[in-house]
Amino acid sequence: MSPDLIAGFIAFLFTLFIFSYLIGDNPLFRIAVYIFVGVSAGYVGAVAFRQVILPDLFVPLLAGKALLIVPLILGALLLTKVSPRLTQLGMPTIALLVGVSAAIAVGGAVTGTLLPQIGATIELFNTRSAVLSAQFFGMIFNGAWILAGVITTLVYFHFGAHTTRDGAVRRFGLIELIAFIGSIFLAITLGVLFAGVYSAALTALIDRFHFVGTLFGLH
Amino acid sequence: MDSIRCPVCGEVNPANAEFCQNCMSRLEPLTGPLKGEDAPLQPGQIPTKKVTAELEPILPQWLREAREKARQSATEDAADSSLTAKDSAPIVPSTPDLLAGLASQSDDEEEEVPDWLVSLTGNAPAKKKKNAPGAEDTQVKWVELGGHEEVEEPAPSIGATQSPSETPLQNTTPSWMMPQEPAPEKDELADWLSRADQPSASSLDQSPASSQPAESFPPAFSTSKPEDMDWLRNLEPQPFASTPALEPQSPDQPRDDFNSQSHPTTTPPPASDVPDWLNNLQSQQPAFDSTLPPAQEEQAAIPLQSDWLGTVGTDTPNQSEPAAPGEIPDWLKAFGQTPVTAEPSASLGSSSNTMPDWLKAAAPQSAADVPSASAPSPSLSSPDVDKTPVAPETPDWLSSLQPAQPQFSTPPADSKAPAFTAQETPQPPAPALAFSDDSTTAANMDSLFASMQAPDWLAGPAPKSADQTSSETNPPSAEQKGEAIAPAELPSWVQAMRPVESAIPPSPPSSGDSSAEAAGPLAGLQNVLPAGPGFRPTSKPKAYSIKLNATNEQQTQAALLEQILAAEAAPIPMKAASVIMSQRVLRWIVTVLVFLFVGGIFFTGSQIFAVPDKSNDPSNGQTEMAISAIGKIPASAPVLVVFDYEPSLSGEMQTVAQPYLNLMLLLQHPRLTILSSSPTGSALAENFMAGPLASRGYQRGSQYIDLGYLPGGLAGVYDFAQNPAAAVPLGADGSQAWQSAPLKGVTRISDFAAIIILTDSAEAGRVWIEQAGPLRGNASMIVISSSQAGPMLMPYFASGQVNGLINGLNDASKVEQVYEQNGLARQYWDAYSVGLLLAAGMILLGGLWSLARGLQARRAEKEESQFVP
Repeated sequence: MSPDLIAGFIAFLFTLFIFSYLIGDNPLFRIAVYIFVGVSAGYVGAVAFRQVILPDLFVPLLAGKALLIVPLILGALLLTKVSPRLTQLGMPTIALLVGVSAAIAVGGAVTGTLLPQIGATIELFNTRSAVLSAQFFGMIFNGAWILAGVITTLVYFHFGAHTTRDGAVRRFGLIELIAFIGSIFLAITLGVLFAGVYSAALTALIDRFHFVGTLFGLH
Repeated sequence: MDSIRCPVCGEVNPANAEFCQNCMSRLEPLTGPLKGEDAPLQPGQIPTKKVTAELEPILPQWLREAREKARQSATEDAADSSLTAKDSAPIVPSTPDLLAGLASQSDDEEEEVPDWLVSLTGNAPAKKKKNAPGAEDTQVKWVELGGHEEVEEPAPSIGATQSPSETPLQNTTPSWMMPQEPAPEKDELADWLSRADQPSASSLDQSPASSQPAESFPPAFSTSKPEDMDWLRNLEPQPFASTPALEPQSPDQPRDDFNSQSHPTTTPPPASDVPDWLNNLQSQQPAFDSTLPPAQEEQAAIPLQSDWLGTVGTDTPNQSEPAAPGEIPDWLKAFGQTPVTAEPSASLGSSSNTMPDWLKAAAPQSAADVPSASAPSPSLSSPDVDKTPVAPETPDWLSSLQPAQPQFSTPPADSKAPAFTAQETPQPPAPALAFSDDSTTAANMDSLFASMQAPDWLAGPAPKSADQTSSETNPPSAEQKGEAIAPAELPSWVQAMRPVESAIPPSPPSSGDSSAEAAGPLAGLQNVLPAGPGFRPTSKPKAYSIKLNATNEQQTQAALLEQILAAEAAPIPMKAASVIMSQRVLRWIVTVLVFLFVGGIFFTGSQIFAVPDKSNDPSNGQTEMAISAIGKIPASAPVLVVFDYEPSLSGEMQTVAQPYLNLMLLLQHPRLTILSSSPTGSALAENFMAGPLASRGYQRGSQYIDLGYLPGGLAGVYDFAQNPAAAVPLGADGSQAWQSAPLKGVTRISDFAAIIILTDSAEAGRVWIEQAGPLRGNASMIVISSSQAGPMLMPYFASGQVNGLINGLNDASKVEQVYEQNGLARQYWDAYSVGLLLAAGMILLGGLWSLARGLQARRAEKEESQFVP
């Protein structure tokens, strides 16, 4: 029996184990999950050590890059998070990671998402290059639609309100109307996401059918 | 202002007038504060009875007339009753204090003395004689004016009053009463007693001459003061009053005070406090003849001075016999020795050296300026001296002394004995006998009086008598007029209304504390003192009602609150949840449907559904832009392929990415650099290269290089975008990747011809777009995403940050059509389409089912609401 066939059977078994969740939580499903998590963790650890720590830290450190002692120490302090008594020792490393990541994320979000998306939304109404035709109006309509979706969705997340005479806390009427339209856009977006998730899962299922069919020669 | 208007009748009177000429009302009211109004009444203290006759003039005319009529009727009734009560033993009534002044005034104003009284006392004739025509009106006026007119009359002498009284007494009174009460002895005793507690106790120990001032107190028998006439109140109802011993000057108060020994006329205010028995005794005093032998006096004094004197009024006929000597108290024995005490009175006028120090201090001028101070003394024995008016130049205090002198019996000429003998000294405690046992010795009484304070009634008379006597006997001077409007004294009934200082409840008479007091002024009395604070509650605890007083509104609100609380505590019936189909069965049904339809279509190899054409791409050419981007990649150019998806979606990602990568490898033969920001990405990349791209025959190290896992997430991507070689210096196999053929000439991220990102997560794709996009230069960025991440990455394509986007199986099938007609995407397409339709159908059916259930529930609720009242 070839290793591919063995791997194929194991993959099939684990596929069935995962499908067994259709009848509820059961040991087969848990076995499959635990094995998957375990294998993944082992693999990740092996990859991290083999591809990161060893070549990027120890080897250079042994090669004479003494400055790498700093990441070594910081990395070692992260291990103190395991002990509740020594968990505070790992806080500087966590602080460094969070700080650096936050700074990079904010910078990347502003320069890579916020400003380009605002420009793109404004550019939809740039009819300078467009001619007066159906495409022009299509662009205007498309831009207005997108703009309406953006504005109404942003207004939806505006939760400022005031207290009415009857004691209820409500938003202003205009904002409430715009927010309602924004909620429709959000519903459509969530529907699209759900469809995307379902589509992804369906594709994965079909892939499993293909695997089984290939394994057993059914397809 | 020369005139003053009467506040009562409005008559204009001269300014110097004190009383109205029309209505005789006082023009200037007595505005002085009342004496003793602030002093609380001590427990056990008996209010000092005051004569309110002085207030008579203040009363309006109509009231005085009414009172006069009442007095006339009362006098007539008294006369009748006195005639009928001679043989009976009536009970001595206690005249109310409120009427004390009225009685006294009526006595004063009554000009007609009953016959019996005329026969009993010699005062009555004297009065008649004194109040002869013209004097009667004057007397009435004096009563109204509070003694104003009295001073205008010549001071009547005692002898004048006594002499006439002797005759009727001898005729009508019993023989035992005849020798009773030598006047000097009585006055001496009274004065002494009155001063017993007024000065300090040491004054009692002074020289015997101290008795002189007591003797010098004016009796003023004939002054006929309103207070003097109070005795008539007792005379009227008392049968004893019918005795000839009564005289107008006798006190009217039925009390067991020893003060009754003092002459009632000399001390009018205290006389009101004097009990009846003493009043009666005093009334008999004029009957005593000073000429009687001391033996007779002693015998006569015995029955009168005993305790039993309270029964004198009832046993008068039986007391004609003297009591046994053994029953006579010592102090009463002293009465028999009164002639001895009277001797110093004779020396009062004979020698000024005998004047006690206190008297000198009291009246130094009178003793010095009036050499004739002893002048009255000779007249004491003379009956005519009573008629002699007091000399105008005589000081007041001395003039007040003069009338008292006739009371003294004629002293022996050689008598130099002090006024107070050793036997007389204990006489003052005689009143204590009224409260103590008869066995109390004189020595005990001495100590008793020396150690404690005498009651008010005993102390009050002395100083007042002197003042009042002087005011009665002498014409009121300007200063005396000023004193006339001096602060008045509280009447006895007003004093009785004063608040008691402590609210100690009187001990019940039946309590166990029945022992008699052994010492003090209360000696001999029982149950006169409370058991003591702390032994019993001083007052009953106040009873408080436990019923809550609440208004109707409060009760309504309370009821509402109770209802609210009850509603909170009451269980609310929950609506039974509608029976829901088991999720597990539903899952099974869905699973079976999906497996049947999707699996069946897939395994049947059905290609019913047409693959979408890229020309009909509704996604604004994202797939077409991605395919066109392949054309922009130079041949054998370095291309960075990022495997950033999870193993769970490797089936979809391989299916989606395979067409595009195959097309690119097929067309451009690029040098691939594989990188993954996920630890499992490297393995997935190797699986991808060994699986879907295996047909392309790419060799590791020569045609592609696996840089492996890029650690650091966002920071790692940023670092890699900044300096790829520094971020990932080695390949996944540990080789020098940047010196390998696939990465030849690549030092920066912009050196790659294209950056293809395979991701199943919008976040991972966004990170690469954000961090590497600005630094990618001219390199195309193609995103191949899962169906679940595609919608979130489409804006980046719309904004131009991504050159092409392959989203899911739909876009993959388009790409596949470019180079292959029956690729894997096409194989999946029918099953995928059926799966989507099935899902859409189930969602639609589920929605309809839910709508139907909702309508049914609404209708049921509506029907229930119609039937429920």
